[in-house]
Amino acid sequence: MISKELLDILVCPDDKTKVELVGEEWLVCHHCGRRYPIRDDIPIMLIEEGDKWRIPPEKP
Amino acid sequence: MDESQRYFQRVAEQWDTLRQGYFTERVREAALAKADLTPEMVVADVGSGTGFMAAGLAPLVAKVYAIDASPQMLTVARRNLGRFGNVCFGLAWGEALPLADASVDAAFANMYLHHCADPLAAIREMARLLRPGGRLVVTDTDRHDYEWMREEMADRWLGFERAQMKAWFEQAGLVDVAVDCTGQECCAEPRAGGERASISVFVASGTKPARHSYLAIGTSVLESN
Repeated sequence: MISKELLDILVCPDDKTKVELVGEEWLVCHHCGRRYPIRDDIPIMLIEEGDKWRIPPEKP
Repeated sequence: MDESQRYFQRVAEQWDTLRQGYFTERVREAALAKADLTPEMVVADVGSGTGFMAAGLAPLVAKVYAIDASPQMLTVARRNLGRFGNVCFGLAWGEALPLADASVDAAFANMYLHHCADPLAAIREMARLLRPGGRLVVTDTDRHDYEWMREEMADRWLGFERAQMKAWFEQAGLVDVAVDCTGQECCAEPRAGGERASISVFVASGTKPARHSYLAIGTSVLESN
């Protein structure tokens, strides 16, 4: 589990949009669609890692 | 994986022994002395490595965010800092930090910038994290000519000119910028033998101005003239 204080200030390292915790293992940037995994309670906030798991943002 | 990640993957388990030659508690004390820390503060340690700076910060503040780009170094850091309940970890590059604007009261980077591809980008990112009045404190080596450190220690920069560091802090929008001696030397020996390096360590500090604080900016201009 990552702490609530950390979650409150975690942003996408690329576009600085606040990320959302999805389940217990993913931090999702709804702006760019990158997904950052949480491994051993450590958020992996590398742009290149987010790219691996990127989901295309939904078109409005 | 870049050169510094490969290097720290290799040395993570020995780092706490190795680094005793490279820098000491007195460097940390010099950094802490520049930050005006109080117990309710939240701080970031960027390029935290195995947690040397964070271990000095954790007893003094409410929360430490320890950020590094090497998973192996963070694994050792978590072990080293297990006795503190107020340290959170994150894997990230200093040039692309994953924390919100104005989210911390102070940011530290000890012996980190010389591993950065773009130190100014890292300084700008750390400055971005600061709340108005927050302090950025960087400790690193002065400019030197020990080329072997690039290959053997994954150093991208052979230290820094103090004037350059001061200019970068100011370009990042910080005021009250000062670059001082720590009185400490960073010492290392090349694997193949040869001259032992001994390089002085500086401490650079600056303050994020209060929003729309033209007075603070004006004062800084006056002081620099």
